[in-house]
Amino acid sequence: MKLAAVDIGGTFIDCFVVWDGRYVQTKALTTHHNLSLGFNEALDEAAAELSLNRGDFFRQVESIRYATTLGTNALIERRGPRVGILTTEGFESTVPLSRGRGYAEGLTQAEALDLTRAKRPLPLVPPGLIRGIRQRLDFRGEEILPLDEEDVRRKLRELMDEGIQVLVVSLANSTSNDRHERRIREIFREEYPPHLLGSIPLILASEVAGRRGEYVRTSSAIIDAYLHSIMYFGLSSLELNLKKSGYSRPALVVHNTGGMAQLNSTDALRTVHSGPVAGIHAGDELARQSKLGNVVCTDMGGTSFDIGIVVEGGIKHYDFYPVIDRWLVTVPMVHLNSLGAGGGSIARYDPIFKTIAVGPESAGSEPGPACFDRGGLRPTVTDADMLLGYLDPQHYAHGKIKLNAARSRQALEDLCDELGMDAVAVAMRIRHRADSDMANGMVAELRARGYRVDDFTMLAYGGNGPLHCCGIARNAGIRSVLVPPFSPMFSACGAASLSPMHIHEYSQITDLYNPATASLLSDFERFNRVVEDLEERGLKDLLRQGFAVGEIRHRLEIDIRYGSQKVETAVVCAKNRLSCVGDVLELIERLAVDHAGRYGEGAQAPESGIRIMAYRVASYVPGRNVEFGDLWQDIGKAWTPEPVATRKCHFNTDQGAVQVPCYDARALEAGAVLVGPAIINPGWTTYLVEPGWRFEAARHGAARLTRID
Amino acid sequence: MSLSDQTLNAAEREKVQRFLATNTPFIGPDWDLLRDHSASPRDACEAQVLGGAFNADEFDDIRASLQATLDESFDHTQNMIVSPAARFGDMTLCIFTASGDLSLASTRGVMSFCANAYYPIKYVRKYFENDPSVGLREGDCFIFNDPFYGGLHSPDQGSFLPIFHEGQLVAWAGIGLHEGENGAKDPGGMGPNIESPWDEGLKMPPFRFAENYLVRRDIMNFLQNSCRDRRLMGADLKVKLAACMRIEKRLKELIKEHGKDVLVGGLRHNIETLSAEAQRRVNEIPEGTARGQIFLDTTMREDVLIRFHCAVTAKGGKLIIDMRGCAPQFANRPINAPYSSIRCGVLMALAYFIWPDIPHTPALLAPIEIITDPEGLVSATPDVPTALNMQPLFKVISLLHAAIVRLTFGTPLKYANPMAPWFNQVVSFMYGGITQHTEAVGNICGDLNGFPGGAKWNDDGEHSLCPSFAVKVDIGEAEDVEEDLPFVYLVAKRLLLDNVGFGKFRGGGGYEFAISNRYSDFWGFAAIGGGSKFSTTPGIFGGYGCSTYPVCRIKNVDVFEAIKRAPERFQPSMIYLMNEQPFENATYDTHRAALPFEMAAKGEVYLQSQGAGGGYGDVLDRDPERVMKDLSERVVSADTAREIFKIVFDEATLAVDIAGTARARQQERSARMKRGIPYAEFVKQWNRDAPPPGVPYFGGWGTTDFKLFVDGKLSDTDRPRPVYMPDPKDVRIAQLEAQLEAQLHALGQGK
Repeated sequence: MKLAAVDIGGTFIDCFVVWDGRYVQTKALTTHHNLSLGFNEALDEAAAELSLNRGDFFRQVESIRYATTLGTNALIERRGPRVGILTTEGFESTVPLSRGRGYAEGLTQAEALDLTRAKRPLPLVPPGLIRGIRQRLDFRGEEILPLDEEDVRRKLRELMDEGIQVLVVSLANSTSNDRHERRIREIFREEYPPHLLGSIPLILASEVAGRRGEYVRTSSAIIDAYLHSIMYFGLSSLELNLKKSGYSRPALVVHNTGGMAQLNSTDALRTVHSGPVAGIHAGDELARQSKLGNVVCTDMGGTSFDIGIVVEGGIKHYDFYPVIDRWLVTVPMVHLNSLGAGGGSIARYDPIFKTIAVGPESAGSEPGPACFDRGGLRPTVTDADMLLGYLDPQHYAHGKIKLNAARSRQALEDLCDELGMDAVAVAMRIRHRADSDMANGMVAELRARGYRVDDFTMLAYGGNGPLHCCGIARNAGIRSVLVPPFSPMFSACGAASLSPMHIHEYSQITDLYNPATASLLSDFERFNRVVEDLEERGLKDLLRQGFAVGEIRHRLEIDIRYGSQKVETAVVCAKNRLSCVGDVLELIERLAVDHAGRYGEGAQAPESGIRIMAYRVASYVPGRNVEFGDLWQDIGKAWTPEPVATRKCHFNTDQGAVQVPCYDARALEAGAVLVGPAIINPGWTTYLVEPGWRFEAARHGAARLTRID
Repeated sequence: MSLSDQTLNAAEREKVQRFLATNTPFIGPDWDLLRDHSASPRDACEAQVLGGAFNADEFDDIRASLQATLDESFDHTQNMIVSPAARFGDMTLCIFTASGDLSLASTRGVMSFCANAYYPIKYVRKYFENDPSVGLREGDCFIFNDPFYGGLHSPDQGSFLPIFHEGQLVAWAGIGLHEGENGAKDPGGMGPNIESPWDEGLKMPPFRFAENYLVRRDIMNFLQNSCRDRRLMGADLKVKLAACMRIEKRLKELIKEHGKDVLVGGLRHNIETLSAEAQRRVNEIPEGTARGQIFLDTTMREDVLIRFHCAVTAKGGKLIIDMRGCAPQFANRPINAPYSSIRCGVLMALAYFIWPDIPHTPALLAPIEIITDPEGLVSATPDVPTALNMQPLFKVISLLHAAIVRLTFGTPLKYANPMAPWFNQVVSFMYGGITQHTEAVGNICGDLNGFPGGAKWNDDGEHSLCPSFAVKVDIGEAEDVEEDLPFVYLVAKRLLLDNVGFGKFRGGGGYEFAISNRYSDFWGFAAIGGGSKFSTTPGIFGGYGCSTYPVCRIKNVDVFEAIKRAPERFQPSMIYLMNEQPFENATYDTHRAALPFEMAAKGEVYLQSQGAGGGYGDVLDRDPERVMKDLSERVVSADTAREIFKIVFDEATLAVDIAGTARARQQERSARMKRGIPYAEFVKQWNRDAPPPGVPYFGGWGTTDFKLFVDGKLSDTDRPRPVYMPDPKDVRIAQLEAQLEAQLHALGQGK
């Protein structure tokens, strides 16, 4: 297998190449003005490492896939087109009111709490571009008010006259019956045939999201519409660039559902947050291949600390209602909790408790921490790391960024004055606060989903992961951390290990058990029909991309809840069809086990009814591209590497500075063992082995850090 | 001769006290405890830890860890809880010191549950802990809902669990939430029909419902048997216990990590730090008094004018909230509020609108003093119903908010944006009956959460956002409601034209909605709002208040059949349906915003609209471009743009005639000058000794020396008595009888 996976991030473009069992990792700076430049640089570097010229590389590589933040950036920068909406009359303010809570989506809890400054974000669709259509369906899909076609034509003309560039059609209860939405599309095509220059894209909400909830579905369709052309042109130009380089196949775009697809089978909405999701997928692969059991993936970068949960045994963690930028949407996105804590997080004085608070405000990559010497004046976590001696000022980020400790000290001055402490003591507090906040966030994330921290292995990756993982783990009460293989490019590695996959959903309440009538589900035909339809849609998506029917598999997941509990548990079904009451009881049993595993035995409430809330089919082409294998197999005898330097570091205010041995990339070779304190700088990241911790290197540059005190 | 008159020696006195303690027929509310919101003195352990050199960093770690635990437990509980309101976020989790003082609360949810939560714990400690028939043991969990025992109003329920370490009580874990259905006269636990405390369903002073970490099946059975929605009651008892146990577990882990003393000290340190910060902030407020009053136009059964009055005085390091001059309590209407509810309102006003940056706990009330008349509408007694006490409570939030904004306007450092009051009425339909899924339910729709925000000093208010008592809660989705419940939103969310508080910056607007039962043969609706005839949401600094809106009904029609017959006659608009009355033989009526529970046949339509947030500043100062934007978005009409804001513009292009507008505004200012009179003259003209004749006025009259008026008549006593209102049906019968008698008399057939 020869493939290349690229994760286009805010600061760096990470590239991970699989070449007949060999793995190559490269990085280039993100070139926002023209992504192709950085993209090419990273791939050229990989080709060079393989001793290939560009032409040979692109001719031989069988698959190129990439994750991109293009969509997120377009949303933040509000660069999208003028979107119009046709909705059910009487629902015109649904989107502007955003369920009330919309003002606070994407904000911190502290910001959400301040009602006196509450302000909804600038709308993606101004209220003046929303029109109500005369029609109404009930929740069963039965018609209350027929579609008024003349009204449709009139409102279409009004919106076109307003100069809309994309049209979203989102009608109440269209997931139960999409007939009215489809008829509006036909009318639109009659009025504005696609071959005419004035025609514009039209998006039906029921085709973007299959879940109930008129706001979240419309919101999903709006984002899809908003990003559609930007993503199309952005990604097409990347594809064109690949074609020019000699790559003739279609590239694959990573989806936030944990799969990937060709551009012609990709909704714009599915690309948002695809990079971090690919990292979680890598964690999933690694956990399965190395038999790690449950893992919690933590990715600490410059601005955020992303947490993902991977559970052994197939329980899937999705956000059915994720927030993208400031918008609540519905798309089954792999669950990801992003905390505002990273190297660039800014520290400030908390006058109430007379202590230090860190984040969520971040210095980002521009200007970045004060020590980057790019104009940043406020103290950050990286500045604290700098003053504590953990970072090598000359060789940070492969020497691409020279660090200036004087700037860090300067940035901490106000905090020193407020607290009456010296810079080192303040730096130690900043670091402790940051580590403690991340630990609390991670623990809360696991516990809120019903898990015990003890049952998980913590994976630490991202630019700052190995530098802070001991501190985070200590605060979380975790004694062992795994820095995964290829940790600086772990998300790109995840993209490399992905399979083509499409997910389709249908939301409809189906009683598995109705206590009022004491009956179990018996309409198997209806259940099977829904599943068959979803499989058919997934099949079509994959066939369109050239896969054969025989290669395609379908995984059925159903979201079930007890009575009126809010939580829905995604149960992976052993069978994709029901044929007898035994199958129903087996599903109920499976739910009971999964639910108890998460929320405790006794939390199940079957006596209040058991309902299917949604059906989901993941259609995919199985494959395994990255072989992690057992990380600890054949690593040979333990050995102790030689330090390349020593540096004065601070770990405890009482002890003063201590001399700490520093190591280079050789310390990551399998079998190397170190006892903290120690610092390893292989290039793109820094591993800090704190006092009381032991470091053991495994295969592919992975390492285990274990608490020994 | 009474016992107190006797001369008793010490031994006799002890015997007498023991006799009285064991022969008390009923342990009622503890008024001293209820009124005292100050923290208990430090206990021995707290004194020892905080009296010495302590590590503030370690306290900081404990606080961060407990905060994460509370927030994580909130999320977890929200997933498991059945109560619809709690699923929308109407809930709080807390940790208390061993004495029962609240140390920390979840940052999510509704903080009103925090303000009085100390009381049932201190009550249990005082009356039950050492009572051999009750006692206090590890694994116990208590429940309460009575507002005279620490509840907010009867549909809310709270639970708390003691946390022990090696046999010593070290803390408490607690949860409060809006449960809804509790067996009250009206489904959902509250409604206009409630006329006595005994109509309010379950009345629970704190009692133990779980032992050894298990819900007692007999108690659960009793509670389930006492209400309509047994499934909800049973499931949520378990969830409440589980929530407390999660907090307990984490707290015990922290004890293992940091030691018991450090944890106990840390819990206490939070309270003292926040009290000190609140004190510091009160000290910053310039000394002075700001006053305000709001009038409620309904008792829930009849149209009246009920006065809420408040004077906020900053003096000597205290913020004194004087609510004397409010209306007396009503013996048979559910809008009375115990003193403790008012304290909740005070805490919410401070936390949400004045100091939003500080952790929200009752420690903020340390420098606050609250004064009320005895036995008034805002200091009700247990013999009157209180199920809808949010009517006074929400008015208190608005009154205090506006008063403190004025008091603190000149202070250089502001913790919140100065703004006009938030909308303050409950506009939603309560429902009850059997659903299409054959479930018996009773509760309130999520529209409850759609209060619009007031205008800010520098920006317009937000349209329907969240209630004034909670943040980031959910209005919900019509499709989800329709799937669960048997009614259809004929109008789901549509901003009503001109429904904003006008001003230099306008308040946020509210949306209209209309619902109709489609699938149930046994279904009904109720409404519990006010402000349909007299606005309760004021503007500030010259801004307009909210308009008034009734509940509208279309009865004797099956709207679904009518639409099927003639779809062209239906438009999803309250104004169209009520003005055009398109369905033949249907009856159309408007009703005050409080509607007693009534059965709704299939196809009958109920309509309402959220009101608006108050406006800020003079309408003539509003940027004409903002008016045009509102006009283009159908927030205001062209008439309003012209007549209220005095904008001259082209209706086709919405281009503003700048010079013309300046002229129109100058003309209006001149007209105002002409209408104006000297202040002393105005006071002379304006001031009256009594309310206008014929107005059913309830409350004090005047600014300081109040004269009490009851139903528009001067009360013959200084001490307010509960007002007993006649049954509106009796009143109507009497009116009809009088009419009949008059007609008979005219025919010479009278008595």
